[in-house]
Amino acid sequence: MQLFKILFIASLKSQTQYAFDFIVNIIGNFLGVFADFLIIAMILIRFQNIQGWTLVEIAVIYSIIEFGFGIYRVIGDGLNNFETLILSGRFDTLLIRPASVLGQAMLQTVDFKKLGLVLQASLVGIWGLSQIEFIYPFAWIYLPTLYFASIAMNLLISILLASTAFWTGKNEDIVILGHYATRTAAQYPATIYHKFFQSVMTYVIPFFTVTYYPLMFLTGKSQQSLYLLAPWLGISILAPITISVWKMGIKRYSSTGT
Amino acid sequence: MISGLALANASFARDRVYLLNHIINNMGSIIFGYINVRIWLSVLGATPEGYSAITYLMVNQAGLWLVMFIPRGCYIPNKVREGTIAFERLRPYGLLYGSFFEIAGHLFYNFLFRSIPIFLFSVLFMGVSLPDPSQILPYFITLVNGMVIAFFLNYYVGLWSIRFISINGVQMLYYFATALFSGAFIHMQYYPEAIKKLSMALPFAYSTYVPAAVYQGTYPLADALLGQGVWILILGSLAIFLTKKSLKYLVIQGG
Repeated sequence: MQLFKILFIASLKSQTQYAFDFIVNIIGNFLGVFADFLIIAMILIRFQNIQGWTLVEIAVIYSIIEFGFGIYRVIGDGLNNFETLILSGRFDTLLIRPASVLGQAMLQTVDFKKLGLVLQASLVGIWGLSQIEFIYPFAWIYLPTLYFASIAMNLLISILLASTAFWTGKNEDIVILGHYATRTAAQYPATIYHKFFQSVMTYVIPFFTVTYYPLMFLTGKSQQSLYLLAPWLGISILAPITISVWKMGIKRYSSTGT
Repeated sequence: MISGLALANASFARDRVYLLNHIINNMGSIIFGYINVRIWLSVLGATPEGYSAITYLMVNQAGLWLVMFIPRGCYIPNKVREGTIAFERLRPYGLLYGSFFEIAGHLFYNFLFRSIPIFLFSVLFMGVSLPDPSQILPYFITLVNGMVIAFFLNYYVGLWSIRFISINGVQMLYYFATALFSGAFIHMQYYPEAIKKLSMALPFAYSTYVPAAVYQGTYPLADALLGQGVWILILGSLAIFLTKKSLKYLVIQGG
C-alpha cells in the first residue's frame, strides 16, 4: 500500500509540473468525450425520445457508464496501454517485485489528466439526476451503487481485454472493439439493438447490467425488481472469469525483452 | 515529387505489416457505425428518411479513416519525443512536404483496407445506397479535398508537439471540434440552426459533411469546391507560416 501511495504522489507531481500542459489536458479530455453527449443531446432535443427513453434518462445512463470509464482511465492507464508492457518486455520487472502484479500493471501511473472524463460524466449525471423522476424513493440510496458497479465493470473488462496481449502481443484494436465500442453502445437503451447484440452486451461484455436493466425498473419501464440485482450478478460472474484469464495469461507469458 | 511518392510508398508498406490488426479495427468501426445506425432507425424508423440518414452516416463512418482518425499529429509528436525529428531536418525537403506525403501513403492504405471494406459491408448488410453514377467523381474529388483539409488540421497538432511536447489535450480538443462541427455523426439538417451556421463557418464540415452530402447529391459540387478551395488556401498558408515559427522552438530530445 505504501508503494502505491508513493506512486500516486509521484504521478501527481510529475503531471502537474507543467501546469499549462496539465490544464490543456484536463480541458481536452473533458470536451473530447463531452462531444459524445452533446451529439446525443442534439438528437434527443430534436426527436424527444429514443424508444421511450428521454434525454434526462439517457443522461443518467451516460453518466453511470462514463463515470466508471473515467475512473478506470485515471487509475488503470497501465491496463489501457498493456500491450506496450508486453511488447517491450517491461512486464518482467513487475513479476519480480514483492507486490501484486495486477496492481502494479494497473497503477503504473495515476493519470490525473483523465479527471476531465470523470468531471464531464459527473456534470452530466448531476444534471440528469436533478431532472429525473424515479418511481421508487429508495432509488436514491441504490443509485450510488450503480456508479461503483460501473467502475468495477470497466476495470474487469479492461483486465480481461488486457490479458489478450499475453497471447496476441498487440491488442489495442481488441481493446477498441471490446471496450470502447461496447461502452458507447451501453450509453443507449438495449432495445434499439438486435437481440443478438443485446445478448452480447448482457452476457459477454455485460455493460447493460449496470445501466439498462436497473434503470428499466427504477424508471418504471419494467416491473421486474430482480433487475436491481443485475449489476451484482454481472460482476460476480465476470470477476472470477477475468481473474482466471489473467492468471492463465501470466503462465503463458514469455519475455520479449533483452 | 519523386521523393514524395517514395515517402508515401514507404508509409503504405509500413501500414501493411499491421493488416490483421486493422481488420479487427474495422470490426470495431462497423460496431460504432451499427450503434449510430440503430439510433437513427429508432428515431426515424425504416423510412426513406431513415435510410438516407443511414447512408449518410455509413459513408462518413467509412471515411473517418481518411478525414478524422489520421495518425496523431501526422507522426510528428513521435519524432519529437524520440528525437528522430533531427533527421527530418537533414532531408532535402521540408517538414510540411514530408508529412504530407507520409500521410498520403497512410491514407491510401486506409482507403483500400479500411474505408472500402467498411463501405462494402454497409452496402451489403446495412441498407446503404450506392451513389448516383454522376456523383461518383464529384464525391471522390471532394473527398480528396476533405483529406487535405484534415491533414492540415492534424498537422497543426503535430506542430503543437514541437512547442509543447505533449499533445494529448490538444488532440482531444481536435476530436471535440471534429466530432461536433464536422457533421460526421449527425446530418447537418438535424443540427440546431445556430450550430449549423457555426459549423459551416469552420473547416471541419468541409472535410466530412460536404463530401458525404455530395455523395447523396444534396450539395452542389461548385459550392463544395469553392468552400473547400478557400479552406485549403487558408489552412495551407497558415501551415507554412506556423512551420517556420515552430521550427525555431525545436529541441532535439535524446542523444
